[in-house]
Amino acid sequence: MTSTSNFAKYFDRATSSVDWETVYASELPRVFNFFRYSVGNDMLAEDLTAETFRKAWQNRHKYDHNRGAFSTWLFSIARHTAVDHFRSQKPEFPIESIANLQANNPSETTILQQEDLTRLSTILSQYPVRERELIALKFGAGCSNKEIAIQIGISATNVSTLLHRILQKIREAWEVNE
Amino acid sequence: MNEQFLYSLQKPPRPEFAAALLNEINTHPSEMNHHKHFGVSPWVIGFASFFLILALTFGLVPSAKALAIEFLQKIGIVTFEEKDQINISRAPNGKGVITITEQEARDFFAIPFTLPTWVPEGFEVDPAFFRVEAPVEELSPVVRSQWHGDRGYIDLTIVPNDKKWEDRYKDRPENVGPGSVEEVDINGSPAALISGGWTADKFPEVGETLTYTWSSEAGRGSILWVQDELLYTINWTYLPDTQDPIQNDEIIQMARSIP
Repeated sequence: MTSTSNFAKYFDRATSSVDWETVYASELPRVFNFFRYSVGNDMLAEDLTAETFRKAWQNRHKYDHNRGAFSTWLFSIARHTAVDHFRSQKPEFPIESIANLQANNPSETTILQQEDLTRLSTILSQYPVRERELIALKFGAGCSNKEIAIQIGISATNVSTLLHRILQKIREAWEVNE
Repeated sequence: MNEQFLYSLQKPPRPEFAAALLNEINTHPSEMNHHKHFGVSPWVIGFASFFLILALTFGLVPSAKALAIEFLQKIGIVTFEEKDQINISRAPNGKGVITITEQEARDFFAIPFTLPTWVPEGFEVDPAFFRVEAPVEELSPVVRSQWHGDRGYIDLTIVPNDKKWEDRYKDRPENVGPGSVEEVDINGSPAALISGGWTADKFPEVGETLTYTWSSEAGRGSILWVQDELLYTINWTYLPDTQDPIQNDEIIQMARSIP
């Protein structure tokens, strides 16, 4: 069985390969926006995105495609990174990000978009981590309800119900602030 | 404020940030500049698939045995067994990849080789993946190139059809799943076309032994044949969530396009 072991151990490792550059190109924007919607701060989102990809790279040997899509595995790392961040930080109201954008002379559209994101982040910061996470996965990362269901371990129907409730809360809070 | 508005707050990462992070990952000191795939070095992919295809080629269905034996005697490599399950112990990662240009590969390789003139639509050759690879036992050189696309990747491995490979594998039977191969013709030579692979419930730690089951739905395949004193192997893997898996007919057309 020596030969079998040699053959199979190599082949097993080959089966779990994932093209790094393809993954990077497709998933970087999703992970970055997941963090933007989670923390409302572009600079911090970059830091957390970088941390996520470093962890993914360092632990790439642990990924098994038989257990799910690579994006699912990557976002589980991102979610844990976000949770670790929230545990280690006081609640953030990232107002300073607007000043940073102005210093870089961005367009008016960019500033308005950042203001909206900051406003959304301020509202979300008062919600439980799970609800913030749902919004970030849905609207930041662009995950489908099915993908979110796999991520957080509930049914897609439950995801839809939860999102509906959270969106209603956000709308009400948004209108109060207008 | 509606769902469309929430989606509209997305924006792409800064190009400088994306480039810097990619550069950091690609140049990280911990084994990053030797391969581009999660969990496996490129030469391992090539050799693993190579071993698999050899095994499948020479130990298969009784009706194909005569041709297989003739093929085996010609290159004198391996025998095999068909099994539903096998136990595998994971070993540490190997090393030995040198990235070179295509011309350097041609200078290095003793026998002239040719590359496909046709590849499936959407696939482009990766110029950084043209390599000479030296196995740990200093066997014959191996040349590999790879094509990437949205659907996955296709990998071509070329080795001399010589005695070193015979000696290395002639007493080493390899296990494959039952009925996982068919014979096709590539430029007048018999070729083994394999669909499937060994799968397990988890990815093993180094030194851990797991039980693997053969799956015809493993998302990969291989084809191997001898042409002009060279042993050609094409392996393909499609991405787990692709809507358009690589088809066997596309790989056969690619193999037949090698002059």
